[in-house]
Amino acid sequence: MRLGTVIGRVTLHRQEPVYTGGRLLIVQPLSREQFHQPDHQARTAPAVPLAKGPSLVVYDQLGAGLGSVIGFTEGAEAAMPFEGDAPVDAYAACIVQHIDYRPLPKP
Amino acid sequence: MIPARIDGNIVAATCHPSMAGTRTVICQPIDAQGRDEGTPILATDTLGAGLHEHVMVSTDGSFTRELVHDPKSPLRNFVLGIVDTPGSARVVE
Repeated sequence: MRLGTVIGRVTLHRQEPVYTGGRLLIVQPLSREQFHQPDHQARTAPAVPLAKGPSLVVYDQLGAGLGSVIGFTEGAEAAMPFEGDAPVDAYAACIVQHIDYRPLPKP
Repeated sequence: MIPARIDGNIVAATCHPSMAGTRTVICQPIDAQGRDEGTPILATDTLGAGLHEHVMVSTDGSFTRELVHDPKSPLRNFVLGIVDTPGSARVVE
């Protein structure tokens, strides 16, 4: 499971029936430097600058808002919550309220 | 399996039902010398690993589903064990 910031949403006109009932979020994965996030409720903008790198689309059934930090899983496990086969490879597992990150100081 | 060091945890009230009651820790993958290697990942911890302890993280999702007793759980990583003596790993030349 990785952490990521919700930066947008995707709206589908036509979709697989299995997607019904959830939302598709555009998520930017957090880099190590951004793990020091202040506690926050959903804002319209991320609390810290976004990491560089590719974003991904995550299927969400929890109702995460723009600016929220979520924990998402990828791969085959992301399709586990669905009935039967589902074309989902990233699933929002939790909405993070607090990150307690205490790395060791670099030598 | 990935050798890692516990660098913290997260708190999430809104989560998949299979995560309720579990502890989710931030694991920093490390190399044989204990140096950081890559971005931290999150894992389910049922052993109670302490901060900065060296652990082995498994990415076997099928066992994690048994661990949380939910065949529909999206979880994948879990803490397999806590390394007894950090730094005792030796790379065989």
